[in-house]
Parts: sequence; C-alpha cells; structure tokens
Amino acid sequence: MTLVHGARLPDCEPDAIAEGVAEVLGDADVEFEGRVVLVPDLHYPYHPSTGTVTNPDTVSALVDRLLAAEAVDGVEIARAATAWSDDASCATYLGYDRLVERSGVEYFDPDAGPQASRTVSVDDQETVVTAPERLLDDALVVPALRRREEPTLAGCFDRLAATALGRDPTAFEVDSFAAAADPIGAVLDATYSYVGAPRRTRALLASADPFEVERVTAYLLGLDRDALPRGAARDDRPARVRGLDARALADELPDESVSEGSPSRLMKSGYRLYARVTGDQLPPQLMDR
Amino acid sequence: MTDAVDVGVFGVGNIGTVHLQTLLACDDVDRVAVADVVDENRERALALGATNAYEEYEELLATADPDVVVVALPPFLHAEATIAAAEAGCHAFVEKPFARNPDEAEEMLRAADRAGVSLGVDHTSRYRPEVRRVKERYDEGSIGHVPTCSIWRFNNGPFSSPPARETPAGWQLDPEATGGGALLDLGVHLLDVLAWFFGDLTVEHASLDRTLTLPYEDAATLVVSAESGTTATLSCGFFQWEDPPNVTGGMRLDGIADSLSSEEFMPSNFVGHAARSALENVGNRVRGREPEIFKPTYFYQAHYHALTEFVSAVKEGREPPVTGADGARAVELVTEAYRMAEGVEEPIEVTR
Repeated sequence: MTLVHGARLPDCEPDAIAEGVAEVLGDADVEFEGRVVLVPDLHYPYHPSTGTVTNPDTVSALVDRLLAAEAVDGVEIARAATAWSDDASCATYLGYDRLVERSGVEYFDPDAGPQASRTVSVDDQETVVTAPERLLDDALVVPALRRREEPTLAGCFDRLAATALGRDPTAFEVDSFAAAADPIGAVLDATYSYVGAPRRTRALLASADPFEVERVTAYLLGLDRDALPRGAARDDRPARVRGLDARALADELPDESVSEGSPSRLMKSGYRLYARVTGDQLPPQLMDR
Repeated sequence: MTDAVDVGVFGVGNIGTVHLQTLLACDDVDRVAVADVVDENRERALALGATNAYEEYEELLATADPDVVVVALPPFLHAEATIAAAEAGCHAFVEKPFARNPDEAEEMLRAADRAGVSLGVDHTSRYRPEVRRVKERYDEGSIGHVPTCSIWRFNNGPFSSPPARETPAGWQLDPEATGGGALLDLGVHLLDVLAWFFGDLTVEHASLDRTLTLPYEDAATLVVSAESGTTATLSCGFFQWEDPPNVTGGMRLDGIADSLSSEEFMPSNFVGHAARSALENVGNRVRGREPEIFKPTYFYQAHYHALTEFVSAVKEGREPPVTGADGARAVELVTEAYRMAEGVEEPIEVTR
C-alpha cells in the first residue's frame, strides 16, 4: 500500500513551499520521466490565499523540481476553459503566464498528441472516456484542499475530469475518469485551504497513488467515503500519512458550510409575495432568470 | 415640462432593471420604453411593465420620442448614447462612471449644452441612508471642523465569491471598454461623496495594485485634499468577496469635537432590517398608502432616490442634484490619480 507523505511548512512563502515540495516528493517516490503534465485547480480567478484554487507558488515549485529531474524531458501546465470562462483566462489571471515565461515550460495543448478512448465500467454501466492520452497517463494532479457546496471532493479525479471536459464533472464522470486515468501521482496543495472559510494551512501532501491522496483529502475535509471516486478509494481503510499529523491538521480546519451563492427559493418566494401584497418592486437578484 | 414625462431606458440588465422599476413606480413618469440587445432582457422589461422594447437605443429615440433617457449601458457606450440622446433633445441620466475619460465627458457636456438639456449621473453613494445621516450631522456642525476623513468601498468586481457562478461579460475585463478598474468603477462614488461633503478635491497621492494578474487595478488607495481643509483617504477594490445584503463600505469623519462613522447609522442586521421594512410597507398598504420603494433591500433605495430626484428636477426645470459636470469631475480626478500612480508629472488640462 502506498503511503501519503506530508509536510507542515513554517509559512507560505515561496522558499518554504519549495522546500516542502522537495521533501514530500522525495519521500513519495513519484517517478518522473518523459513529459509531465501538471494539472492544477484553476477553475476560477480566486486569490490563492483563499485556498479555493491551487497556489501558483506550489505549481512553480513543482515546475522547478521537475525541470531538475534528469529523466524529465519537459513540463506542461494544463489549463482549460471552465464553466465560467470561454478561454484559458483563469490561468492568466492567476499568474501562470509569468511562470511559463520564467521557466520556459509550456501550456498543455489538448489538441496536440493522441486522444484516448477508453471503455470503463462504472456501476455495472459501460461508458467511454475520451480525453488527451497524455492528460490521462502523464498527469501529476495538484488539487487544492477545498470543500464545495455539494458534499463532494474537488480532488484529483474531479479536477482531471474538469480539465478534460472544461466544466465541473458529474459524479459519474468523476468515477469514469478515476477508472480510465492513470496519473503518475498527486500533490495536495494545502498551503491554503477553503473549508467554508480561507485558512493559511501550511501543508503539502503527495503520493504516487492519487487514490490515497483522495482518501486523505476526504478525511481532512470531514467527508465520508461516499464523496470518494468509486473503486479502490471506497474501501474502509484509513488514510495513512507519514510526516504530518493528519488528525491534528483536520482538527485545525474550520468546519463552515459553503454558501449556496444565491438567494434561496424560500427567500425569493417570500419577497415575491411581499412585493405583490405591498406594490413594492422585486429586486433583480430575486427574479427567476 | 410640467406633465408626467416619457422615459427611455438604454440597457435593462441588472442596474437598468432597477432603474426601470424605479420609473414604473414614479408618479412623475408616464411611459417607459426600453432598449436592449438581449432578448431575455427586453422580455423581462415588458413583463415588468415597459410600454415598448427595442433592440437598439437609436430606434427607441426615433420611435418612442422620450423626454428623458437613462443610460445604463457599459461605459464604452456612455458617450455615444448620451450624445445621441442630447441631440434628440432628451435629458439623460447616466450610469457611473459618467465617461471613460475626461475627453468623452467633455464631449457629452458640450452636446448637452448645445441641445439645452440636462445631464445627471447615478452617483448613488450620496443617496445611501447612512451617508445622508452623516451629512446631516456634519452640516449641523456637531463634530466641528474635520481635519481627516476616510472612505472605503470593496466588492468582488466582475467576479463572484464562492461558489463560482458569474461569467464576467467580456467588456467587464477589457480596460478599453471599462475605462479603468476598481478606482473608476467604485472610486467615483467615493470621490463624489467627498466632494459633496468638503468641496472640490485635489489628488495628493495615488497607489494602485493588482492582487491578481488582471488587465486593470483591483485595489486603489488615494489621499485627497479638499477645499474645506479636510484631507481624506479613499480605498476601494474589486478583491473582496461580497455577501449581499452585507456590503463593505463606509466613511468616517474625525472632527475636532468628535468622530462620526457611517456604521453608526446602518442596520446592525440587514435581514432584520428587511423584515421590519417589509412589515412597515405592509402597514402602509393596509392604510392605503404607497410603499417605500426598495426599502427592505436598503441599498437599492439609493438608486430610487437618485433617479427620481433627477426626473423631478428636469420636469420642474431645475438643475439636477448630481449633474453631468459632477460626473465629469469625478472622472477627471480618477484620471489624475491614474497618471499620478504611473508617475506622469503633468496635470491633466480641462478647458471648461
């Protein structure tokens, strides 16, 4: 069984993150060779200090570490259109253009290279996962430690699927990608975290087995096994972490719910009734769109 | 103009819809036509009570022949739409920022002067209930002279707080279309309030920042001095997650005799305020009175009063309370701040 290796950092400055990356990757025995595709969470232009996206400083440290590895021919950073932007502007807003320029790495081109179509079975249902082959097989996934409004994991396979699809995946799609993909490893960016509120968490965790990272992520976020992708992650083995007290880290994290993000149905209905009774106007944000 | 006026609303997105609703509830207004390129926006406006809906504002001007227009279009369209309205003989109430730059502002004012029409701008902050209360206390003289003041406003700009749910319109992230960033979008409100309180302003220091790699500033801090002798610090930004109905904004006056903060006059609990206001309006209805429009939402009241006072003023032949010249001055100050932050030495020249 593959362990997850963790490290607590003294702070979230780039130097401390670089040392932490070297430590966890060194312990995790992730094999780097050929071209590696880094897959960070950059689903929206949120500030990295909020923990809602992968910290670009963590990605920068990974880039430097990979470029120094003898067996690595090149590094690419995956970015994708998301549900909230029509192009790859999130990567620009989050500062990745500067990283690309500084380091000489490239953005991953999903149209260059072969596409893979893999038939997998999920819940006794066959489905075909189609995605760039290198995204499925050469990825080092770098999710952020964050909770979403749904009680699901924005973890390795969720982010891998999101990058391939250009939107948040369904649970079935996450399970499909978990069955089809074979990433080289995963690094959980917990320099900052978002569990209903931002926190400077100062931690990194890595493993050659992304399913183990998923298990640890769910534990830290207080999610049960149902939040994990189906398959190997769903057995009841506890997460095993070395180099970091996972229980203490989990206890530190806030436990706040994530906002729905818009007025509730009840509020809308109540205000509509009020407006009808009084003749007042219904504010635009309470209208059905 | 003494009869009720006909109004055209250019743009019925979010803020345009608020203006439409204000006009529909306003006794000084007869008919309201709208223009918007988005089908859904036009349909919603008609459902709310607009008399006609056009795709283009030119068509509205030619067909509906309004007395007044509301320009609730993106900033890059303010100048052309306002000038077209003025040339058609319409008074115009323009969303902020009044213009993208002083040159556009000047063209708009000249067009209005030539046509003999009035221009106003939606500098709503001076209509916010708590700002009005602070102004009353300041005008009473209860805190004496005010050597220093601070004013601030932060929101999430074109983005949303978690969960991700807003796709910014393309123009919102194009500085050519917007004219600038947080300082132009939010700072104009704050500069207008400071000018209203303390007289004409001079920008003494400007500092801009980008917390993300955006095409414009999302954080700004200015130091301005005023005719009254007050020195004010102004801070604004697009970087903070906003959780409506709570907003992050306020002002504080540090006077000789005491300090005065807008927070003293705001509801401590907006949900409670909404509930109380709703009950008051129900009571109004029971007594056969009209409701106080937008009172439960608190902040939309400011838009209601800003627009109705403009309409009332032009109907009665008075100068609007917040004029196009006020809007132009705010834009000049922002432009001066941008130049100062970039290290440009020469002041801008305004020939008016």
